[in-house]
Amino acid sequence: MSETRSIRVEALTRVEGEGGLHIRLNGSEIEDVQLSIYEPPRFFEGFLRGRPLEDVPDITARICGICPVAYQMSAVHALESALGVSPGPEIRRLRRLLYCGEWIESHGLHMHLLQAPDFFGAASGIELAARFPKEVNRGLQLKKHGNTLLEVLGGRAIHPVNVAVGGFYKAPSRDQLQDLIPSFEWGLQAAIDATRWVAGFDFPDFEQPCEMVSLQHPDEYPMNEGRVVSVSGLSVDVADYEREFVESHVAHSTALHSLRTADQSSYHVGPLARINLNRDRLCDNAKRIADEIGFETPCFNRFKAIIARGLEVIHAFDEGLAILKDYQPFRPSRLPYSYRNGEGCAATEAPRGLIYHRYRITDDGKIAEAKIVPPTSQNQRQIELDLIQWLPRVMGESDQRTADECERLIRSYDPCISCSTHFLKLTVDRQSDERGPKVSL
Amino acid sequence: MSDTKRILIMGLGSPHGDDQAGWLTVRRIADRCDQRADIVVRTAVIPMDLLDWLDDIDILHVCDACQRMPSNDRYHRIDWKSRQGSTVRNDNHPSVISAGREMNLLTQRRGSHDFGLVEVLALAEATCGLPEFVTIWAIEGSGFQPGDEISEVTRTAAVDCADKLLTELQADQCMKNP
Repeated sequence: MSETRSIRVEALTRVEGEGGLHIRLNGSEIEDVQLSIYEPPRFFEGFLRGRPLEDVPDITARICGICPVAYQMSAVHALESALGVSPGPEIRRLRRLLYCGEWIESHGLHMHLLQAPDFFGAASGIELAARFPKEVNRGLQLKKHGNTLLEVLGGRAIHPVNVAVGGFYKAPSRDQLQDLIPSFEWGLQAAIDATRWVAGFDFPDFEQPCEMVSLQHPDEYPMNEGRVVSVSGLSVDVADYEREFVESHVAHSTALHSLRTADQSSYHVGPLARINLNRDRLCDNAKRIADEIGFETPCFNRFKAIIARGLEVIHAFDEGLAILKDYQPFRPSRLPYSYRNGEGCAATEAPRGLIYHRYRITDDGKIAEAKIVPPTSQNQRQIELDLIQWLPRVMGESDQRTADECERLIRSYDPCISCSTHFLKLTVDRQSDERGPKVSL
Repeated sequence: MSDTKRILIMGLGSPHGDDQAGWLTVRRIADRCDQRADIVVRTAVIPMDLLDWLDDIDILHVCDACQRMPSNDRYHRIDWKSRQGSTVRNDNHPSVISAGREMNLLTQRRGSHDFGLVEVLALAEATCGLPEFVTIWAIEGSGFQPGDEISEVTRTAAVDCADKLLTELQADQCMKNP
């Protein structure tokens, strides 16, 4: 007689969303896996309508406390496209520098406090810190330097306020950026050490080829622009994003699932996708370390995303350092523009993957329509499919252990909904189960 | 070599109702301590920010809102380090759990990725180290909904809390410079 087993993680708490996980097993058969996001929709796209376009960078930054720069960058690029404005190289470099800060703080946090504990059976970053104080402290220092850069360049670390359509409200002084050089020199070496550390973790053998999507720029590691490419050979202009990818609603999630339009298939965005598609565009230091640790690409082992993050932190410090050293103040810090009817879109690379914005604007400078596709909605379906592949390896364990292992896989994505740290309230609902009728933990 | 101790006073909060209590408290302190070079006052939304601000700090005061507790006091002073003992190793440590329970709803505030104030203090202890003295000032509130104004009860408690902390700061200064 088959046994129906239901594992429910009620709350993958906090961050930019609230979600849970429900797994239904019938004997050895996986009947259903649902990564459910039940937080009420936040309607950002709706309440941007009618607002002045200048408000968009600051409002969209509020979508996420960890990656506000990604929302700001995507917004300003899309709006500038609609306005026909093309910021010059100085603004472009400062924007990359700002993005470096965000990658550093976001990846530093995830690597050391969110994902690393999973490799040591630690219940939290605090528990990990008791075993690896030097390494965790190094991670916190890396994060701190990322935040400091955001403060200097963005006005503050959380939800920066200095990003403007056309550039920056105020360009930093040379001294302000020169002061950061010592900490970035330290950070580059620390990022190398951190990447070597995580590369030595014991990774599950879980190579799962799938479609991976990221931006690709001819000359640089992708942050603010590029074509949308994939490991299966897709290569389209960002303007064609909505032709290639479509969002759909599923009953168990208030966040839309994003799929490939042609065959409604899932895909993966994030640091693994970026590295797989852009390894040759990493800085020399990151390439050298990738070779040294034997990081082979394409890599489809989701757990190794922590290594990809490490390599990207190296790149961010390396490139950030170069920009800091070369920086000369410039004027104007933002380009003038005239309102006009128009529409523009842009995609950038948030720490956790490609993010797409499109805006339609009116000739009085108001938002008529907004569309925002964050990384997590693009990864949701792929996470569910990965769990289906992962479950046969872990479902023989207790419900709690099975849930822990599933969370571990989810955390490797660094989804904004996950918040990763030990957020579980587990209820187990067993039917025809010799282990007991109903258990609540 | 100077024996001046560097003091960080951090207000945790948000713009929502009584959750403004921590910010209100430290702003009142900032207004009255602007001549004190040894005091740094900062506001934050998430406790994790604290980890970036601890360099060279000898004394830390954290002002934060908490939910009503069954007592007549409207704000509470908690000496973290003396309550914790000398070393906190992890969040399974009995003393941390005890403190968490005692502080009750301070721990309910969740910062980035579930790092509440208790977790952040424990993390700092385990990594970069905490300042020599850590005190938490918990100001009671009851309404924390977006768009709410701060209640008069909590506003008064925040002012009283700020004045109490100011008195301590001034007393410490007088002891150093009689």
